[in-house]
Amino acid sequence: MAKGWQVKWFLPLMIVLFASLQATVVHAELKTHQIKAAYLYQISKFVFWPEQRKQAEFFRVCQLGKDRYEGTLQKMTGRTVFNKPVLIQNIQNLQQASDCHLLIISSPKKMDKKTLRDWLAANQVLTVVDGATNSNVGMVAFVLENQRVRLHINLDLAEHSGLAFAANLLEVASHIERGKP
Amino acid sequence: MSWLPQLHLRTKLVGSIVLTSVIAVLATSFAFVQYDRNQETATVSEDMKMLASIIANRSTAALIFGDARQAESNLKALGENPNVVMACIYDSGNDVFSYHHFTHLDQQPCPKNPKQSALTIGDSIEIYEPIELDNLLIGTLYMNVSLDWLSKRWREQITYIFYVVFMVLVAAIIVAKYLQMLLVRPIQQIASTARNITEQKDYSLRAKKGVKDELGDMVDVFNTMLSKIEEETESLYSSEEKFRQLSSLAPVGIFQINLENQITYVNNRWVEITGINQPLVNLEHWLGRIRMGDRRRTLKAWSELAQDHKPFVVEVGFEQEDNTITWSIIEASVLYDSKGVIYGYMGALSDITDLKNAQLQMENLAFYDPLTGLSNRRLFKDRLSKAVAESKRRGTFIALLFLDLDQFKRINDSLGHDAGDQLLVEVARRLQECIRESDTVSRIGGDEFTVLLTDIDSSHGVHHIAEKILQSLGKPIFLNNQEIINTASIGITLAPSDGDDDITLMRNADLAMYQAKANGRNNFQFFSEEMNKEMMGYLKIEKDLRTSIDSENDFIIYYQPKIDLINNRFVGAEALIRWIPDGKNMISPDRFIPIAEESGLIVPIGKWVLRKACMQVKQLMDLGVWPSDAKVAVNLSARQFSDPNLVANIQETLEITGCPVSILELEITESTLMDNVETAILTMRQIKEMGISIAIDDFGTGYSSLSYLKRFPIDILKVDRSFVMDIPSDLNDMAITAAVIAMAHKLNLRVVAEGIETTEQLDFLRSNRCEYGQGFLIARPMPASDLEDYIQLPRKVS
Repeated sequence: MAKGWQVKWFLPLMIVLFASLQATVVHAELKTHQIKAAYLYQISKFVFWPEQRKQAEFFRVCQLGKDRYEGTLQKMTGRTVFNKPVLIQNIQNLQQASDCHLLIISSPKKMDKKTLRDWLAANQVLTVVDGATNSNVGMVAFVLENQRVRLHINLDLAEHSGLAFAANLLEVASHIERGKP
Repeated sequence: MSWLPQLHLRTKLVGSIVLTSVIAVLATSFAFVQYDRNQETATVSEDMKMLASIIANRSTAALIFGDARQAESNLKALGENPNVVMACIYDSGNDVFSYHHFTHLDQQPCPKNPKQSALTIGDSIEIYEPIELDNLLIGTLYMNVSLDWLSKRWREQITYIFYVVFMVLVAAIIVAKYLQMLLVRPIQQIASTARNITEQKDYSLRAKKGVKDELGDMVDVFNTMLSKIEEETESLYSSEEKFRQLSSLAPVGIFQINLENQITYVNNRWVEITGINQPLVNLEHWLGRIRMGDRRRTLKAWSELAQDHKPFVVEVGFEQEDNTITWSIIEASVLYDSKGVIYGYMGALSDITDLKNAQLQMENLAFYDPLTGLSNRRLFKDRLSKAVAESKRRGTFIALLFLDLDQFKRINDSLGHDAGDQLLVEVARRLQECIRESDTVSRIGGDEFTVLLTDIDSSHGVHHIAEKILQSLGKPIFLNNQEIINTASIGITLAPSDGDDDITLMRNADLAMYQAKANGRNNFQFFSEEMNKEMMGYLKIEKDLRTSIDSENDFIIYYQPKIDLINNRFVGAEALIRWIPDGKNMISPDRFIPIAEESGLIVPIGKWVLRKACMQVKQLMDLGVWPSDAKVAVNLSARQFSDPNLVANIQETLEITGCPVSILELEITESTLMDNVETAILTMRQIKEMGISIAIDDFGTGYSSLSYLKRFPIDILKVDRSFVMDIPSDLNDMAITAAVIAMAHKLNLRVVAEGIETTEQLDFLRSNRCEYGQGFLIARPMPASDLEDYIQLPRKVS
């Protein structure tokens, strides 16, 4: 093998390798958001909505607080849930969320649990949060386990709001929080 | 399958029952197994499909949320069904998302490129079930279900079927054996009875009836049939015995021949006649003993019998070992069995040696002149008529020379009869020298000779021969040491220019001979038509006959009585016609009968004679003169005999006159009968059936074959007057007369001798047991009025 070949190809190869490594990190972050966004859409299909909630004009996906999905939620636009077009909305407070079907709570730590629980008793809204520790606020919590997005489900909270999940969904949940018997 | 009908009935019965049962069980079982398999497969498929649908549904979330662990745990739930081998879940990109094997052995990877939705049943059931969420395909479930359990089930079923088949086999054999006993035994009974009957020929045996069903009926029918056969056999036996007795007593030989020409039966008489004593000779051997002259004719008749089934009667001579010939008549016809199929021939053999010898002797005497050895008048006439027929057929000429010695009477008177005889012998010899072999010289009377020349070219040739004859006869002859010069006159006629029948030719030649005599003797004359017409007045006579027939007054009947030669009793009379034309003398029947015969006038004349004779005899009967057993004999001419209305005419005449049938006798000349023998026999039978007797007139002048004579239904033979006439001077005629009488007696016929003129003749006839006679010695022909007196005249018994 000629010595010239090594000099000639080594540098560009190294550059490409480094660049691709950087890209992988960015890409992994993006992919997680995308998966969560996709899961959001899918979860809504495994939820038994009360009949009057199905009467709405749109299937409203509301984001309370800043957009933690980096715009990937917009990809849900144009799809339908129980034949209603998906509408993405950013809201600032809980009062604005009474028309929502799905409420993404960006900052669960700031949410008063008591207030939310009371509000949920009156409004059948599916709450979604990130992180296992926030499952007392979100009926569905996205949890990263072994580099994979898994679901934790707070069945108690959902039942409190008058919502129910399909067994299928429960089967794939890695943790289920149940109310006291 | 040709062996099948040869099997025993019992084998067939047992075989068919066992086979049917086993086939039925097997077919039912396999149909059931197959149905079960299909049903099971369908059920399993359905179950699995449903299971697949449930699992697919359950796996949606796992698939959506990428939970392969949960997906596998869902798949593990399929392990509840032990037949599921493996299951796979594919994502929407058809990549394997999750899978599970339920067996440790022979693990296969999930199939690539899954189908969206399918169910295939092969060695195993493969199911592809789409996993959908909100009508969107998000993945596919694959399941592989083993069908090994089905094969195992099948093997178990086969084993079970085997046990059932075995049991059915045993049961079928038991049932079949029982049925065999029930069905075959009565049949075996019948068979063994039939066998015993065949072996012992005892038709009184009967089959035992063991059951009362259809087989019992069959035994009854069989036994009834045996009774019938027994009856038939007995009647057949008695009939055969009757036939055997008849056959052994029969005076004729009886033979039966099969289709292979083997003689299968002969009676004793056949052995006696043929002299063949070895049993079962074949036909060829027997017919091989027929003399050459008859063999071809017999073989031809036999082949016609075999081919056309035509019965035959042949007269044959058998050569015996001592070189003598036995004469026989063989009659044979075909034998038909009950179905009308020919199975052989049967016939009778009559020994006619005595008759035949008599006939041969008679023929010889009858047709040749014993002095010169030349053919006599009878044979000559026959040859002449044959030659005339032959010349007509071939269009050739014949010549007839009629010779009369000029000085014979003088030589006879002066030198004696012996010298006369020597002269005749010498003349005969010289005549024969002058002609060809094919020509015929005959002596037809005392010093009258004829020469018949056939196949001649011209009258010139005849001229030459006639000159040669005159020259030859004119040479001196030494008689009693004296040199004698004898001459002859010859009349010559040619056929067909001068005439085309024997009677005309004879007359012409005779006429020409008289012309030669008139011309100074020792010369010959050819016949000319003028001579004939002048002498015969033929046309005149015919014309007169017609006139007389119209008026009927010119004919009268003369009756010549016939008597019983033993007791001189009147037994009848022959009706003879006499013709006395108005204002003329009586014309001899010899003169007008031939003319009437030739012109056809004989038919009305014959009818008149019959009617008149019947009327007159009826009158005599009414007067009580005519004896009830006497017969009036009426001559039937050849023309009358061949008249198709003959029988009807006779019947009508008898009815009109009221004359009883029994007194009528018809005389027919032998030559008339020989014209057409078969028709003649038919006509005679019809006449005979009416009850009328038939006599053969002028017997001895024709050539009656004995076989024909036997078949003629006749009662009487009339010996021709020409034989009787020369008794006792002519020994030959005496011998002939005796032979004729003997032969007639052999044939059960009675004999009437005609022309008895002397007591010597009468004595001779009596000594030869001739029954009846007529002639001038007894009575001349007489009119009816004289006959009345004649019958009543007392006659003494001689």
